[in-house]
Amino acid sequence: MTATTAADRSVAERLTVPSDVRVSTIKGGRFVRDRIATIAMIAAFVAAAIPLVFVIGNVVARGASVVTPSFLTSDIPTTASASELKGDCELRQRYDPTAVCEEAAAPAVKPGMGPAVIGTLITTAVAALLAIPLGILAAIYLHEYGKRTRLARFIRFMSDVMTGVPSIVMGIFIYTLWVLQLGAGRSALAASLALACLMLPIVVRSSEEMLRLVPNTLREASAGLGARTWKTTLRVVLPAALPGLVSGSMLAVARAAGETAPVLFTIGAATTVARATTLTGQSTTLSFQIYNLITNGGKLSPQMAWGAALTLIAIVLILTTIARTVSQRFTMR
Amino acid sequence: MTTIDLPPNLDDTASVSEGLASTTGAGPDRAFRGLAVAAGVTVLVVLALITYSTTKSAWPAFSKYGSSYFFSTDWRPNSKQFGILGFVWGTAVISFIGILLAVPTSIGIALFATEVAPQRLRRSITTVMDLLASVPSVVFGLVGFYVLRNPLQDLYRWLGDAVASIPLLNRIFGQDGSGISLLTAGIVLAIMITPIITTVTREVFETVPRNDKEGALALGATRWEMVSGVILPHSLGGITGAVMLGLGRAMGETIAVTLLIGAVANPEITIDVLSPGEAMPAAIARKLPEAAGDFRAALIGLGVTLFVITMVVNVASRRLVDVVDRRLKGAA
Repeated sequence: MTATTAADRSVAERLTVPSDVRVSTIKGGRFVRDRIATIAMIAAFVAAAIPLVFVIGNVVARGASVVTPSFLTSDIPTTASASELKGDCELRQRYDPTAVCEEAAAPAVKPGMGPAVIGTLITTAVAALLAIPLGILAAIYLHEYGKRTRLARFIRFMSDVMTGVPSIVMGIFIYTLWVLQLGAGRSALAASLALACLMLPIVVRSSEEMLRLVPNTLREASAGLGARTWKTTLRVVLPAALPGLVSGSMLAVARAAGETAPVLFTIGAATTVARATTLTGQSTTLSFQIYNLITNGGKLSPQMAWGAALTLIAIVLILTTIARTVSQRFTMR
Repeated sequence: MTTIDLPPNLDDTASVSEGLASTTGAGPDRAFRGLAVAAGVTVLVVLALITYSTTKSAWPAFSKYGSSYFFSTDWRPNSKQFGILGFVWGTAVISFIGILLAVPTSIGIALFATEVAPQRLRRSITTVMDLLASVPSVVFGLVGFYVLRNPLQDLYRWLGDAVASIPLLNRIFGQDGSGISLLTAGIVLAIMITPIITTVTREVFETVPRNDKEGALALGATRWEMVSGVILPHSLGGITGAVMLGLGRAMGETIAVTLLIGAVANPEITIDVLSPGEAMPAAIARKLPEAAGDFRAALIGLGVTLFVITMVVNVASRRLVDVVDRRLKGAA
C-alpha cells in the first residue's frame, strides 16, 4: 500500500477544484477538454483499425482470384519459363509488331506456390516439435521446481529478454553456427532451428503464465495423496493447464509461420514440390517467396505475391483463431 | 505457495521398503527434475551460443577496423571500407518516427479500452490488436510496396512543396520525396509496434487502484482530469517500459523495413525523412545472402551491434515493467 501514497499525493495536488465550482456545473473549458480527450481516444483506435482493415482487405481482394487448388500445389515457375508468359509476349509486340502472340506460342505458365506451402508447413512443424516440449519443460522447471531460486529468476529474466531479440539475429545465429562454423549447409532443418530459437522464449513465458493459473490446492491435494512433484506435474498440473499451454504454443507457432528474417540466410532455395519435401535439403517458405517476388520483380510476381500473402495470412489466422478459441474455453471454465 | 516437501527421514524409510519406493519414486522425480532443469538451462545456452557464434564470425571486422567500424559513415564494400554509423542512424530515425506515432496512439487506445469503451467493445479492441500483431511483417511490406508507394509519393511531393519555404521543416521534409523513404518505414513500424505497446500499457492502466480513480471523480474531476491526474502519473514507469519494449521491436523489425526504406548502399546522416535510407537489419537482409569474406564479417558485426543494442533496451524495459509488477503485487 505504501507505493500508492505518492500517487495519492499527486491526486490531491492536481485536483484542486476551485471552491466556487459545484458538481453539477462543469465549466465550459473543462467540459470541452474532456470531450476532446475522449474523441482523441476513439480516433486513436480508429487509426489503428484502419491499417488492419486496409491490409487484410487488399490481400483478400488481390489474392482471392489467384489462390486455387492448383496454385497451392503446383511448382513455382522459374524465371526462364515465366519469361515466356503471354503478358511478356504482348510487351514484345510493342517493339516487334510482327511477333505473334497465340495461346499456343506462349506455353501456359501457371502461378504456383506448392513448394512454399509445403516448406512453410514442414519448417514450422519441426520448429514447433523442437521448441514446444523444451519450452514447456523449462516452464515446468521455472514454476514447479525452481520458483524463486536465483537460477530460476535468472532464466526467467533471460527468456523475457530473449523474446525481444530481433528475429533476424536468430537467422544470423543459425547461419554463422550451422552454415559457416559447422558447415552443415542451408536446409529446411536449419530454418527450423532458427524458428525454434525464436519460439522457445515465447513458449517458456506463456507456459509459465499458464502453469501459474493452475490452483495450488490441486498440487497440495496431490502431494497430500503422496505423489511426488513429477507425478503431480504430469498427472495433475499439466492436464489442468493443457488448454492454456496449447493456446500459448499455437500463438508462438503462428508467429514463426509468418517470419521471414530467420529463414532468409538459412533455407536456401527450392522451386519444385519434390525438392521442397525434405528436411535436410534446401526448401522455401511462403514469406520468403513473397519477399523474393517483390525484390526480384517480374511479370507474374505481383499476382503470385498476393496469392502467397493470402495463403500465409490464412495459415496464421487459422492458428491464431484456434489459440484464441482454446484459451477462451480455458478461461470460461 | 510452496509444495510440501517430505522430511528427509521419510525418504529414507521409503527407500528401505521396496514396495513403497516404487510408488513414491525418488528416482523418477530426480530424473524429471534434471530434465526440467536441463530445459531451463537450454535457454541460457542458446543465448550464450548466439552471443559467441555471431561475435566469432564478426570478429575479423571488429578487430580489423576497430573504432572506425562503429563511428564512420563510410560503407563501401568494394574498397573494403566498413563504417556502420549510417545504418545506425537510419535505424534510430525510423524507430524514433515509429515511437513518436505509436506511443500517443497506443496510450489513446489503452485509455479507450480501460476507461471509455463499453464492455462489449473492449473485447473487440483486444481482437483488433491481436489481429494487427499477427499480420506477418512481409505482408505489411507487400501492401506498402505495391499499393501505397505511388499515393505516398504524391503525398510526399505535395508535403515537400508545401513546407519548402519554412526553415527546418523544409530540411525534415525534403522536396525530392519518393514513396519509399525513412518516413514510410517509420509509419509501418508504428503500425507494427502499436499492438505491443497498447497491450502492455493497458495492463499497466489496469493496475491503477480503483479508489484513486473514484476519488478523483468524486472530487468533481472530469474523466480527462481523472486520466491526466491519476492514471497517467501512476503509470509513468510502466508506460516507459512499454515504450522501450516497442523500441526494441522497432529496431529489430526487418522485412517490412527492407522493402520500404529504400536500399541506399552508403547512407548518410540526414534529417530529411522523405529521402530513402537504410537500416541495420535491412542492410543485413539485403546483402548477407551473397556476401563473403570481410564484407560478410562486417554485416554479421552489424547484427551483433543490433543484438547488443536491443538487449540493452530490453533489459531496461523489463526492469521498468518488473517494478510495476512488484507494485501491483504489493498493493494486492
